Amino acid sequence: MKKEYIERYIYAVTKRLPLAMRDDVSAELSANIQDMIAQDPENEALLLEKLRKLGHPRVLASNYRGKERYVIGPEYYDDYINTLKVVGVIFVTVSLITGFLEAVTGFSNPGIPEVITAVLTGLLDNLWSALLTAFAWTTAGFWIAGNVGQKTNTADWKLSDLPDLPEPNVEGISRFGTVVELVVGVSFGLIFVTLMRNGLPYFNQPVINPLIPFFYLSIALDLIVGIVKLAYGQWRWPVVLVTTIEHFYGVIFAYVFLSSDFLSPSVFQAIADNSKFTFAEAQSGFATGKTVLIWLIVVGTILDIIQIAVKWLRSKSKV
Amino acid sequence: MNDETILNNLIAELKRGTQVLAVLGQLHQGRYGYSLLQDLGEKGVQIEAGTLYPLLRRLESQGLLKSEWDTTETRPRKYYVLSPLGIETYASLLREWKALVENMEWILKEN
Repeated sequence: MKKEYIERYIYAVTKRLPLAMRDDVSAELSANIQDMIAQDPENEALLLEKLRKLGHPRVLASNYRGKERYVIGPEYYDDYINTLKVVGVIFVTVSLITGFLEAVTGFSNPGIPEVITAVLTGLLDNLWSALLTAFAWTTAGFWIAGNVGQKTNTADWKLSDLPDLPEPNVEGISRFGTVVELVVGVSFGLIFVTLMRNGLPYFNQPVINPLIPFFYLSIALDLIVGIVKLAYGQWRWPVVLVTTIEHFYGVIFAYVFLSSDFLSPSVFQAIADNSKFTFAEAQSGFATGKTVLIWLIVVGTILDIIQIAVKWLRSKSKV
Repeated sequence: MNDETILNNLIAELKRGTQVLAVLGQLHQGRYGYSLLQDLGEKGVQIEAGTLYPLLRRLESQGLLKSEWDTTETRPRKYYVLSPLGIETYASLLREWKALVENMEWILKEN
């Protein structure tokens, strides 16, 4: 029983070592362990104490192996993480769009619940495999760069190799926040457009149809703003520019859409039939609601544009 | 990390640098692994068994030590001794160490 513990310990260590080392290490360890328990060979407690001093088999094996081995070495780690983020975002965005298109081409005349479930399940499936693929490619790439071939000579760099400075005093933009904004904005935008295209009850299809390309344009603008934000990472003038354009477009489009007759009169009839409001009351109620909504959007957007402009001007005035 | 852990880590780093010198210094005569471990311990050089045995192998693979199996007793035991290269290297290391100690005393004295 005693002998077995020693043999099992040695086996646990040597199985993790390359073939060439095993016999030798095994013999040496065995001899050393026998020495260590020589004063009381049958004492299991002593054996445990000595084996613990030698260390966990995994630790001892790595000590025998010597040089440190990493999948992604410490000098590459930061770049690796940053690359993962960027690659992840790209894969996710592409997969969302393809997932959406796949899900939707199956339908001829879907209702709201079908479209939403199809899009969400499509997105989730694709999202997970997109994330895994992004992770796999990035990790494989960095592993190869770090472990295969000769180490790059980090001594030979030139001044011109140094990256450009970020502009000082300009506020940064959270990468993660931008990604979330992008993913949510684009997916909901696409869901909404599909619903518009396929027709919803009570919506005035002839009025909506000409507006659909502009919906797509709005989504495209969101995508562009997201990408520019990610590329610059700061509220620099290109970011301010595209964001302002997108905001203006959003406001104008919201105005056009809301002030059109996008609801068919049948909805007012339905309300009149099912409540104590008359048709006329329902209709004027909606009209008031629309006006309020338009004003809210306009004011909100103006405030946002002002906020961005202030950020930008403040950064310019700081020296 | 709390202060004690930081201190312990720094102390461990300090000691690690001197381990090879201490080990080489003991091997002008052939020694068995375990008895070397005990001798070093008695002389105040705390080295883990799990560190020492792989270290001996490494020093041998670098050509600084020679090893042999002693089969004269009931169980075979491996012993290590300095190779000619090891003897030279030890002498150089010792010189470096003395110079280092002098420098350190000088720089530490200024505080």
